[in-house]
Parts: sequence; structure tokens; C-alpha cells
Amino acid sequence: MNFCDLTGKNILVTGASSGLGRATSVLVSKLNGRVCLIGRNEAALDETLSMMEGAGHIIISIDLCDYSRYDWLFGAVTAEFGMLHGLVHFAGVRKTLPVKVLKTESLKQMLEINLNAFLELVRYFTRKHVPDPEGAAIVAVSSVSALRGAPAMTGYACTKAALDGAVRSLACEMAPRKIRVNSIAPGHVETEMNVAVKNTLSVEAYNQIIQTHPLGTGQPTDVANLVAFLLSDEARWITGTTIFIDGGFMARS
Amino acid sequence: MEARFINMLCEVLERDLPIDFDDSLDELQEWDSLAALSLISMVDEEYGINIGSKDFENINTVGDIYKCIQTKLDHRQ
Ligand SMILES: NC(=O)c1ccc[n+]([C@@H]2O[C@H](COP(=O)([O-])OP(=O)(O)OC[C@H]3O[C@@H](n4cnc5c(N)ncnc54)[C@H](OP(=O)(O)O)[C@@H]3O)[C@@H](O)[C@H]2O)c1
Repeated sequence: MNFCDLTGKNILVTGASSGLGRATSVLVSKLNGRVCLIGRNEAALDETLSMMEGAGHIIISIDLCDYSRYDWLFGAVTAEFGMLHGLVHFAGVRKTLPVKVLKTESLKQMLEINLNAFLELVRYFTRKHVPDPEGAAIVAVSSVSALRGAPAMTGYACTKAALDGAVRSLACEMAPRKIRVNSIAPGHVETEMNVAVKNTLSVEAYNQIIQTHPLGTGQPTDVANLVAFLLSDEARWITGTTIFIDGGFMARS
Repeated sequence: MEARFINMLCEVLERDLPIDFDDSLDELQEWDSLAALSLISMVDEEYGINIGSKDFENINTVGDIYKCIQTKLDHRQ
């Protein structure tokens, strides 16, 4: 068997239409896993699918802030896949808002997709007969922003820190059912989320971001590699933790 | 549109005195990097437009910010 082989595993990936979710879906398919690609933008989900290997993947286009559709969502996925082995929640938004303009409505929008959708997905994913009783893995996607401050990141940081808190208790609650729950905290990765940042910043300002990462900024495949490992049986003794993947960002004083 | 913009700027700057299009940003006591960031966020939320630090290289007055937003809005249509 190959290291991190995902043969026979059915994995739900939210945010599969872009950036980190797309790279992870592609890698999972190369490791022989079957993926349910979730996002709102159907054309972009189709594009991800066209980059994948193997057969049997499915696309579900849904607004994850519409929690009333989760019953239908999990019904459709389990009807197609049977038991599930993994859930990765990449879908998220980041708003750069100094506290002066951080109105409750903006905070609510971030919380709904970054945190509430994750907890609601977990609630459905962990229902009886949904996860494989032999074992399953859940990965939340946090950020270095949960632990390192920066102006205008208060709201986003709250949503990501909340995810890290959630995975600890979820891990304890789910351990008897062999469901591992972890979060990953990426530093600056070059994805669509950051294209706007790159385009609007001066060269010096962008270089400053790069310099805060001793190994430079990351690529989506760097994050995908970690997530594939966490989904695999090789990570069977890892739960309730947050793994930083940040090119050394957190190591700096 | 002009009034909406001035209101937005007043909210960001928490300024009691009136603001004029000719006012230079450097001379506005309340203008600093966080005020700039707040304004960028508000413009993004209100108009769905990104102003970046690149744009600020050519912005000196209150009117310049307004013109920048206008140009970007026109460009989008
Ligand atoms: N890139 C980084 O540097 C970085 C660093 C740390 C953490 N992160 C985290 O990593 C995750 C992915 O980031 P990324 O850079 O890949 O972002 P991205 O390219 O902007 O992708 C965001 C994804 O979220 C999905 N999404 C957003 N709202 C949704 C909704 N209401 N319903 C369904 N899907 C929704 C989008 O899909 P649709 O548009 O199709 O709906 C898209 O696929 C995020 O949680 C982000 O906070 C990123």
C-alpha cells in the first residue's frame, strides 16, 4: 500500500471550487479517494472536476449558509457514496475590517460560513450510519490569524480561533467513535483569496508579507499534502490538535 | 453619491468639522493608516470596489479618493 493511500475513502470537500479546496480535491483523487465537491459556483466546481483523476466524484452546488438544505445535502451524498470517511471545510470568507467598521452584520456573515457551517456539517456528518464505524477524519481550516494579531483581522481571527477551540472538544467527544477531528492553520498561500491582496498592494507591501514567512509564501498543494495526510490512516493517532503550515511564520519572534 | 461618500468618510474619521473635497489627507488630523484601512473596507462593502495601496500612491486629497472610486465604478460598467 502507498503512503497516504485513500482508496475506498469518500471525502466531502467544501470550498472545492477554488484555492485550497480545489488543490485538495485534486490530490485526494490522485490518492484514489472519491470526492464530493461542494461550493456555490457550479462552473468552477466543474473545472475542479476536470482536473481530477479517477471516477465517481460528485458535485453538489449549494450555499452552505442555507442550513435548511443540509438534510438534502447529506441525503444526496450518502445515497451516492454510502458511508463517509472524511470532511474538510475549506469554504470561508475573510473580511479585512478595522474594529471601527466591523459591524455585527459583517461579523455574522463571516461566522455563518467559517464557523456555523462547519459545526452544522459536523452535526450531520457524525449522525448514526453516516461515518464509517471503522474510522473517519474531520479537518477544519483555521489560520495563523487565530493566534497572531494584525490590524483589521479581529472578526476573521475570532471565527478561526473558535474553530480551533471547537476541534479540541469535538475530538474528545468523537474519539470513542474513531472520528478524528483536527484543524490546520495556514500562513499566506497564493490562492484566489489573496490575488486581490497582491493586486492592490504596492510591491514593497507585498514583499513585507513574504518576508514574514521564512520559507516564503505557500502554494495550495503544500496545504493539500497536509490535509491528505490527516485524512489518511497514517494519521490515526492524531486528533484534537491544530497543525500550523506556514513556512515558519509562527516561528518568528 | 457625493453625500454618501462624505458621510462614509466622516464616519471613518469620527470628524466633527466639515470635510471638503480639496482637503489634503496629510492635513486631516484624523487620517492615519487605520483610517485608510477602514475606508478601504467600507468602500469594498458599499460599492464592491477594491482600492489598494497602489491607488493611494496617487491620492493626496479627499477629492482624489472620490475620483478613484468613480473611475473604478465607471470601469466596471
Ligand atoms: N489562502 C490563504 O492564504 C489562507 C490562509 C489561512 C487560511 N485560509 C483559509 O482557507 C480556506 C480556503 O481559502 P482559499 O484561499 O482557498 O479561499 P478562496 O479561494 O477564496 O475560496 C473560498 C471557497 O469558499 C467557498 N465559499 C465561500 N462562501 C461559501 C458559501 N456560502 N457556500 C459555499 N461555499 C462557499 C467558495 O466557493 P463558491 O464561491 O463556489 O461558493 C470558495 O470555493 C478559507 O477558510 C480561508 O480562511 C486561507
